[in-house]
Amino acid sequence: MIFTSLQFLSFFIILIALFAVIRGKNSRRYLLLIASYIFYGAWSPHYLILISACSVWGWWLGLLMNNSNSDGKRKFYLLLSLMLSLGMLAYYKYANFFAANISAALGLEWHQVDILLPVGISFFTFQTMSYTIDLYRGNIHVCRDLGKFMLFVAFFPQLVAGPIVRASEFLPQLEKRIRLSPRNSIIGLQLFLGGALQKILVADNLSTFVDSVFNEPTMFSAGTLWLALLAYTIQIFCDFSGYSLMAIGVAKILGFELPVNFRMPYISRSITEFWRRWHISLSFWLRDYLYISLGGNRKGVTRTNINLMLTMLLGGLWHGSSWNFVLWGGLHGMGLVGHKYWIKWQHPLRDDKVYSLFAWAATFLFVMLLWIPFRAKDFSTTIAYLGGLTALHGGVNWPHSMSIMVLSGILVWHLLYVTRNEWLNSFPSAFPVKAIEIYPILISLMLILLFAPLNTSPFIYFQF
Amino acid sequence: MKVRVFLNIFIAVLVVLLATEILVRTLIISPSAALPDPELGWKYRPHSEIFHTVEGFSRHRLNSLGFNDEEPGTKQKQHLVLALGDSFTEAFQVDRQDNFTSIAEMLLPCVDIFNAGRSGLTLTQYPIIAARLKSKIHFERVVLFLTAGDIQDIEHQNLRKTYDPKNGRLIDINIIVKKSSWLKQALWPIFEHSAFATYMKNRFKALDLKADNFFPWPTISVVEKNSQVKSENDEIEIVDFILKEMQENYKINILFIPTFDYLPSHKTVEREVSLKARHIFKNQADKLEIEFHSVNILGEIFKNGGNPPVGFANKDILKGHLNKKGHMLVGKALAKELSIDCSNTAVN
Repeated sequence: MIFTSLQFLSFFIILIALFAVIRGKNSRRYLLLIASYIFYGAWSPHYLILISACSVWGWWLGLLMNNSNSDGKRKFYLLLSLMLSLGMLAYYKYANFFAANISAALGLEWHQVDILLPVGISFFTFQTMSYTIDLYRGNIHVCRDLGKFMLFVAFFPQLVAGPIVRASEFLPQLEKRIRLSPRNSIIGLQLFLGGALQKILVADNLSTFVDSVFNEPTMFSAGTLWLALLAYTIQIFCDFSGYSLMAIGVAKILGFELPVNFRMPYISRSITEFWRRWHISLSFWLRDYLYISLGGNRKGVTRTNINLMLTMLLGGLWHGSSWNFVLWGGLHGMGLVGHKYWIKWQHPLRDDKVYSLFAWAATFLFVMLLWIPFRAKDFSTTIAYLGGLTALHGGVNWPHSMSIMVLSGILVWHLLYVTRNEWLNSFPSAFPVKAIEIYPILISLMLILLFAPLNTSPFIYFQF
Repeated sequence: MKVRVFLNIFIAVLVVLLATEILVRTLIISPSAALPDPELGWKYRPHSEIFHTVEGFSRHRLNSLGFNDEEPGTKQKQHLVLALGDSFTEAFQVDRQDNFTSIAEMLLPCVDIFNAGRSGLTLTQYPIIAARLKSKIHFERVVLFLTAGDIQDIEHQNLRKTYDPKNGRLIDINIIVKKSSWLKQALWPIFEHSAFATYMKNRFKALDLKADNFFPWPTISVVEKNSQVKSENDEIEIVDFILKEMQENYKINILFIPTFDYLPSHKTVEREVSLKARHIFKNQADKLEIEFHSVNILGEIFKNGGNPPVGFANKDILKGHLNKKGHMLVGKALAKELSIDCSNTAVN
């Protein structure tokens, strides 16, 4: 049940209608929990067992940890909870990958086991783990209500592709009565449509071109490969950022606040800044729960660099069970380590405009080139694509006009964002509830009607 | 207060609809130019303006007979040839001067080739078009532009075949055209006047919502799809019948436009449906001693590098209708096929 489907629209309208009828504080919360489970069960009812189990052990071990006075026991409950969550993730997401690689290393024969990857498993396991770690560190209070905890893990707007919400952000919101208000609905609808425009108009329109070129990179000219790479760079941003914005919008309509997940990452002037703007909820999760747990920057330069590399390698692996993702994460890690040395050297120039432009261009080029291993189906395609970018042979030249139009629109959006004091950031809340608000909504709907590709592709991040 | 809110919404809807209509007319499509036709399903309204952006970007003004060519008789050439075909011949994807009939006219200055191609037309309908045009333009020869689609259409159309009870021979073929529903008829004026409505209708059709009976593309009546063809022999029988009928009335040539898959390393493979269609048409043409030529250069040209002769930047570069390069190749093949000597002819 993806956000851009009629199925979801029907589901959401029924949910809103039920909210109008059911008014009790607890009743509304349970309604939302049931709705979240229906939403998740729509992919496959079998997955409900996994998410329920993950919620129950996260909640129960949290309670045990909270009630325990001994440090040893607290650590035991922490490790047990993490092992269960990671074990589930490892089995469903990485079992075949690890087994195949170990078998290959030992020279044994391995036949792929048929394991269906549950949608959003990487997201809800990370949320559960963050709760357990925060509780162990004493950053949050224990959640004694299983219903609330289950809703925290399964809250449907962000369940399958984030943003990864932390217990400290979400659980306090459940203490209040869930209210639907016209103000929140208008803002939520605007955010949702903004996300839908990103997903349907930009990402889906680019995907046709990107898929064709990435499927057969050897067929196309260098110019076409560069255009497709740029198109994919924008596609993955708008696909994921669009989903996040839709999730934030849906949550807003329901009266919940979710954290911002993207802050125009492609205007970054360093790889460090990029990771503060890209998939913020994941990068901050990795920083707070992995990098800092490994020691962060507290144990010397070498150890800091190792921690950074490990964090990014695992962050890459989080995206999927493939060496391409590990490579992608590793190269980003190297970029981060390299940037740490670079800032020591170039510090006096940092505010220079020419330097800023150079820094932006270098960062953008680096990020863009690293999307090749992320998107290519295997390592040989990555090599072929990289080779094609510099090749002078005359392949098929495809100046895909829709992509060029969409990319021009994205360029204007980014330029406006940079030059007009980040005005788009305040767009949804800038308007009071007035007649003028109808126009962006109607125009968005019309643009979707006119230019949405007829076969909407699933969100890229669903596979992660 | 509530009245004001509803008024605001109403005005906003009107403004956005109007802006959308202007946007669609300017950038995407013109309002529907289709009229119902009892034999063909539909035809174009004479003198319609067609704005085509599905593949390529081009604007066309149709002639008084509803085809993508100049007004009949304006060219005053020594020879007049009728070109019959489907959307490949209609060639909305390229400017008129770049389509293959225009290219052949340039190569043969004494020949006027009247382009009577129309999307969706198929082999079984060509005799109807030729018969209608015979009284209006005095062509001396007919060129049939056939594709794999002509055989596929035969497989799907609801054809009524009439056999002679005495000898069991096929004596007539009719396409059964379904009359449009009252709803379609009621909505049709909207499509005739609104580019936005036409565009949305086409999009809903493309969604394949099994809504053929609700909004058939692109007209209010449609050739019914209910195959009576069970085997290749049935197809051969129909091809044979049509070609014979055409041959009895006109001098005909066949130009087959094959369909290729354009692959990495500049390889090409002719599609199976194309091979099958080519085989059937060639055999029947040989049997009836009709001149037949397949434009295989469309596959061979890709091997030399560069882009294939099909596909467009705004759609798919590797498949679809003929692009400018493809039309050039077919135009040359057509001029060669006609083999009319214009060297001693004064050009008007």
